[in-house]
Amino acid sequence: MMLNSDLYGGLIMLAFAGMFWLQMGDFTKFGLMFPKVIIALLAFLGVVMIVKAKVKPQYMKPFLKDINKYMAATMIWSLLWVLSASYVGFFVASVVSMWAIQWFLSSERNLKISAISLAVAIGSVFVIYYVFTKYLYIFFPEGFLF
Amino acid sequence: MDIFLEAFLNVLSIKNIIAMTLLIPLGMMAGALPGFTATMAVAILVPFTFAMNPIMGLICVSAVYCAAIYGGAFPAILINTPGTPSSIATCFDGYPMTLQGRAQEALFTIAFASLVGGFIGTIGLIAFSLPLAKIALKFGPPEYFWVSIFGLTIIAGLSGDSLLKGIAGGVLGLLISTIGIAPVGGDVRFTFGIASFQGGVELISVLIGFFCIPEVFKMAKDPVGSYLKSTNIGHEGGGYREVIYKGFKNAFTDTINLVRSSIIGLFVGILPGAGGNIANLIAYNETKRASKDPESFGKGNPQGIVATESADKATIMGSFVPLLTLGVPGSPVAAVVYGALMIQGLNPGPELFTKHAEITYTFMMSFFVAMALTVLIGMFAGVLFYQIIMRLPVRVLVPAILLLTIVGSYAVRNNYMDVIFMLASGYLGYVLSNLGFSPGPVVLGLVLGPIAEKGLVQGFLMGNSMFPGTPWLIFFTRPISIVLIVISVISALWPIYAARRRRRAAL
Repeated sequence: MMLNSDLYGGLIMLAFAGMFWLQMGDFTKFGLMFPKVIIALLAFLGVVMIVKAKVKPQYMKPFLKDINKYMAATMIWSLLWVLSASYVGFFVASVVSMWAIQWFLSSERNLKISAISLAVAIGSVFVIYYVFTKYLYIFFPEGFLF
Repeated sequence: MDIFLEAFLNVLSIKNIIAMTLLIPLGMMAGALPGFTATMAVAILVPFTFAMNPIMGLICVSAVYCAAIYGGAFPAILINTPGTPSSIATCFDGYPMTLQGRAQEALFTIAFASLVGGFIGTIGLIAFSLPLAKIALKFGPPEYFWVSIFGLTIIAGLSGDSLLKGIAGGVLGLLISTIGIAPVGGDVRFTFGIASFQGGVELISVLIGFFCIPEVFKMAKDPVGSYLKSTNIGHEGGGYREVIYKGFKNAFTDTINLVRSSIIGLFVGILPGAGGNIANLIAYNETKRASKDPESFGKGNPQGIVATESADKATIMGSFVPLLTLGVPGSPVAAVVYGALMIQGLNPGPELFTKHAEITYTFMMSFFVAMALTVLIGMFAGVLFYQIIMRLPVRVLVPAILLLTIVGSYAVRNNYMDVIFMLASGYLGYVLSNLGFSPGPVVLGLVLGPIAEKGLVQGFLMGNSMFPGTPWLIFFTRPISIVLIVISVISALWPIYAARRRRRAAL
C-alpha cells in the first residue's frame, strides 16, 4: 500500500504550527509580529496539503518498510550514543557506540572483527578527543566515568 | 600602479608562500569537518598572527579563510554534508554526481570554478571597494526584508517535485529560526522549557541533521563492502588528465554562469549579515533559472556546482569590503579579522587606504595567490579525501561520520543541546525527505528567517516615525526596496513563465 505523502506532510506541518502556537506566551508586539504570521501561514499550508491529500494526493513508497535491521540498529545506536554521552561521558559513549555500530554492520561477527572494531573506535575517538581538548580547548561532556 | 606591484611582490615572498602552503591543508581540513566553520579556523589562527609581521599575519588569514571555504565542498560532494554553510547548494548537484561515479569530475570542476570566483572577487575587492561599500550602506531594514523575500523566492527552484511542499518546508525553516531571543524586543521565545534554546537554533546543527544524517542511515542499509559499492559509484573512465579536462570544460562551458555567480557572490558578501550561505543558494537558483535544461539540476548538472562554488569564493572577498573601507565587519570572519587588524595596530576604515596602504593592498592581493594555491592543493586534497572515503568499509564509515557530526555540532557553541537537536533534525529530515520534502527550502528558511524578521520589525519601527499610522509604507517607497520588489516578483513568477514557455515549445 502506498503512502499518501500530502496527508502525512500536512499533519506534520499542523503539528509544528500547533506546538509553536501553544508556546506563544506573553510576548511583546515586536516579538510576536513575525512568528504569528509564520505560524498562521504554516497552519494554512498544512490544511492545504490535507485538502490536496483528499483531492489530488501524491503517493510515495512506505519508507518505514525500507528500514532493514542494519539501518534500524544505526538509528537506535546513534540515539543512544547522543543521549548517553551526557551521563557516561563523551569518550566512553563514543567508543562503545562506534564499536557497537561496527559490530552490528559487520557481515562476520567474530573475535578478530570485534577487536579490530574496538581498536578503530578507541583510536578515532582518542585522536578527536585529544586534538579538541588539548589544542582547540573544546571540552566534551564528562560523565560519571570520565 | 606601483603600490599594486609592490603589494603583489610582498605576497610572493618565499616566506609567505611557504606559510600559505603549510596553512592551506589545515584550513581545508577545518572546512571539510562538518561543524568546524571557517570562522573557527580563522579565530584559532589569529592569536598566532600576533607574533608575525602584519603582512604575513594577514596573508595567513586569507589563506586559511579561502582554504576552509574550499574544503567545505569536499563533504558536500562526497557525503552530501556541507562542511560549511557556504556549501549548502553544492550538495544539490555535487552529491548526485558522486552517485553517478563522477565525484572526481565534480572535485576538479569546483577547483576551476573556485579559481575564477576567487579572482573575480579579488578584482571586485581591489577595484570597487569604495563604491560597493557606499551601496551596501544604503541598505536599511526594509531593504534587508526584501532581500530575504527575494531569497525566499528561490524555494521554487529548490522544491523538488512539489512546490507546495517546498513552500511548507521553507515556512517551517522560518518558524524554527524564531526559536530563541527575538531580534527586536528581546523576548525569549519558543524554548519549550529548554534553557539552551535561548541562544536560538544553531544553523550548522540543522544543516548536518537535514543533509548528513539521513544519508548515513541510507548508507547503513547496505553495509557489506565499501561505500563505493553501496552507492554504485563506479570508477570514472579515463585517467586524471581526462577527468581534470572534464572539470575544466564544466567550469568554462558556460562562462556567463561563472561570471554571474561570482558577481552574485561578491555583492551578497558585501551586505553585512548576508554571506556565502545565502550567495550560494541565490547563484544556484539563478543558474537553474537561466538554464535551457532546468530539470537536470539536482540530478548531477555540473553547472550547479560551478555556480555555488564560484559564488562562495567571491563572497570571501566581498565580506571584506565593508570591513576594510568602513570598519564595519559584515560577517563573522570579518569580525575576527577586525580583531587581527587591531592586534597589528591597524584601525579598520579609511585609514587603511592611506596610512597603511601597502599592508591593505598586500592583504587584498594575497587573495589572488591564496586562492590559486588553495585550488592547486585542493585538487590533490580532494582526490585524497575521495580515496579515503571510498576505501573505508561502510561499517567503519558510518560510525566515523556519526562521530564527526556529533563533534562538529557540539564544537560550534560547546552546547550539547545542539547535538541532540542535530540528531532530531536528522530523524525529521529522514521522514520529510521520504515524504517528498526537499531539505533545501527548510534550510533556506532557517538562514533567511532572522534577516526577514529583523528587517520587518525594524522597518515597522522606522515606518512608525516616518509614516505615522501607515508604517508599512516604508517597505514600498524607498528606491532600492522598489527594485528588490520588482526582482522578487519576477523571480516568483519566473517558474510559471518558464513552464508555460516550455509547454509552448513542446507543442
